[in-house]
Amino acid sequence: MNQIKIGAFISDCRKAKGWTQNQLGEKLGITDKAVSKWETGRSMPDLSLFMPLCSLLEITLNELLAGERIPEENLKEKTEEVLLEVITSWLGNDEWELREDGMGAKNVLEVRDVSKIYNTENTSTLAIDSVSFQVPYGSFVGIMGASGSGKTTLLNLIATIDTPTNGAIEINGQDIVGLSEIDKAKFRREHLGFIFQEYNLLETLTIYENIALALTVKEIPKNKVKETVLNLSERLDISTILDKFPYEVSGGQRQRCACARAVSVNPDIILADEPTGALDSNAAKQLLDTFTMLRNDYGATILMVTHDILSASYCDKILFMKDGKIKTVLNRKQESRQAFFSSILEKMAWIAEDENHVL
Amino acid sequence: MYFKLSIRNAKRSIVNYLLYITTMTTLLSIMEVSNCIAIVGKQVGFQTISLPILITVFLVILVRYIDSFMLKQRAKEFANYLLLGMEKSKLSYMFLCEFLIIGAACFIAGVLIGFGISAALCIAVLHKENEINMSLFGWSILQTFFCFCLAECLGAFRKKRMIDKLQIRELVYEKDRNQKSGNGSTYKGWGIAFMIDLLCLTGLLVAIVFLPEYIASPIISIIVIPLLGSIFIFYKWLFGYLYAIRQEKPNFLYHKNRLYMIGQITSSLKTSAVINITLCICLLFSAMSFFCGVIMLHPGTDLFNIDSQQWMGVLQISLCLIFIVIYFSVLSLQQIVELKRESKGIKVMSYIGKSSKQIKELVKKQIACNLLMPMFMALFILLFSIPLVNLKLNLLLPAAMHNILLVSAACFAVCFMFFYVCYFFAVYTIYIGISNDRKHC
Repeated sequence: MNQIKIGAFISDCRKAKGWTQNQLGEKLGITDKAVSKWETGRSMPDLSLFMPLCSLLEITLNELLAGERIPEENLKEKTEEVLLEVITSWLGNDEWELREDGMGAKNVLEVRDVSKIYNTENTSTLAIDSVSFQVPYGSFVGIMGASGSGKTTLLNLIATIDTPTNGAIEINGQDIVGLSEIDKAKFRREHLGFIFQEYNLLETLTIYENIALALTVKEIPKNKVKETVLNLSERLDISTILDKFPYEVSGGQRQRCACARAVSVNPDIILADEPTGALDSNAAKQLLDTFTMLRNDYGATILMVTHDILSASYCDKILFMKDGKIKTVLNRKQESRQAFFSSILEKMAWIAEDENHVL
Repeated sequence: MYFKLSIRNAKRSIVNYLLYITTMTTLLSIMEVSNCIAIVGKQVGFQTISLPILITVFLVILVRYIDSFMLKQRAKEFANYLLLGMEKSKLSYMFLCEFLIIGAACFIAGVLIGFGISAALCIAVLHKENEINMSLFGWSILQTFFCFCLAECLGAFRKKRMIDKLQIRELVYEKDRNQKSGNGSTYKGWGIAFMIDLLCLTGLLVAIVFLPEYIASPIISIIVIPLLGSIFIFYKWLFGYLYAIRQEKPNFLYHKNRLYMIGQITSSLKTSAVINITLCICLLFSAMSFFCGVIMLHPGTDLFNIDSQQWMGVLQISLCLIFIVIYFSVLSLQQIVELKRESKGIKVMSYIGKSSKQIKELVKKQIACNLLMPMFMALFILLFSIPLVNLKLNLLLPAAMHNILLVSAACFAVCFMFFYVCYFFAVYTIYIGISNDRKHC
């Protein structure tokens, strides 16, 4: 968004009304200095002042953000342009990065015709209904859906925490459905990394020890532990808090510690269950940038369950789930994050519309 | 209104209060028994008033531990009350009322159980059915009540101070908060102090054993000071040392379950040190009571008339059992509560690749280690002093009683192992029950 253009537009509108900066400030309950800052493009009005300002100047929000009057015939086109600009300023100016080991590579995860039925005394619930999909090496795949759509159940099945009723799940070419309890634990230790919404760090251990614990469990040589922890912590910007306990650091830092723990053992796939759920937007953005970095620099494959569109816009591919089925799939292809964000919104609107039609 | 809220909270938090209820009821019943024994013993001609005083000291220390534990469990709830606008004084009043209500119930239960046990003991050993009267009951209750009030008042004062000191933000994180050692090298100071104390203890013990009676006798009365000091210093050193290891991050820490175990042990290092010191002393008292009891009950001993000697012998053996039961019950309850609290950590261990078999092994090791930890110093003191004291006793006692201390030490070890195995399996079975319930949920 062009702040100077918006400022000049506010100035023009104010003058057209015959008001001074002081008068406009009084009407909005702010100082004339603040109005002066907007008009010279040094700052933007607070979010809470957008609507009162538009109403006073008799302009639309689109016109305010575009910094010009929008003729009726260009309304749709200009509105979309403004929306894209707002999204761009929110998400950052990201473009598709072509990776050497990108899409089209060998699959790390293959889910074939998987179903899960929960039986209770009187009822049986179909939580997952014949789901099939693949996740290639080095990709970042998201699973989206409303609460109760089966996305966490699906993640649990892949995580070997739960067993499917039917179907096959292969990770790195190994079928995980038939594994014994001991083999499943070994498999988790050697092939999987986990990141949860509630961080799941051990409160009795420091950030350093939490990362080291995963390496100890995987029986990494003792002399490699320190080096690995220090390298990763520096990369994830948590090196200053290594000796603190989880309750002493922020949610974002805790989640980055969970990331470091997950990636430290060099897993085939990292499974993330609503990792940004407990974070504010800034910390969520930092975490998602970390995921992107892990994928790009460490070649990590990430499967993330989320209901947040911002988080999903960082993925390469999104599986939309509804009533235990994969309703549709959205590939980012070579779209920018902003365009992908808009595509996700459209897809979600389509799913909602489809639901209304059925009703 | 706050009183009603206290009653409702006490009812709802009954599971959290389990540790408090069991410890209070056990200790108050033991205290009632010891008060009855002291009163009856006085009639027979023995002075045993020190026993209730000792148990009161244990009660005060254990209540202190439970207070910290309870505050941790309820801290988030208290933060919510404060956020809703409740004054801290009202919150303290409510928390104290809860403790008082549950404490009063424990007092009644403890007194009734204790009096029942002491009445049975009087009838079985002393055949003094006539001594079991209202006057004995009244006096013993009064004394128990006095000790109970003392422990409650000290506890209430501390609880109020704890709540007053903590800010809302601190209360929110209190449950997860770990205790820290101020300086990583403090343990070195404790180590030096321990060596000095050990030297004093050795010197005094050697003096008692090898010097003539008239010099040794006054030393016997002061040896308790370096003895208790060594226990106190050892555990302060041990926990400080374990904490320092964590800070130094040596490579050997990152092998098998060492990091997890040390993390658990040192997460509440100050409280754990106090508990270990208390229970180590408790175990030493238990061992000493057992040795005295065995000597008193030996037919070759001729110190008092047979009835009094038998009474004293049975009393000492009973005390030994009482102290062992205190030792294991408190440790077991602490362990059960800790394992319940650790459930999230155990789940994380499962996610990062520990099989349920490995987790069970880890829990077994944890229970085994925690049940034994207060024994380390007691074992060291006993192993080091028993041969010397046995040497001295061989000079004083008739030939038929030679090496009686070594024999009774072996019997005590067997008895301790028996209790250890029973409590170990009890705690482990309860843990399995808890984890199965969680799986079904």
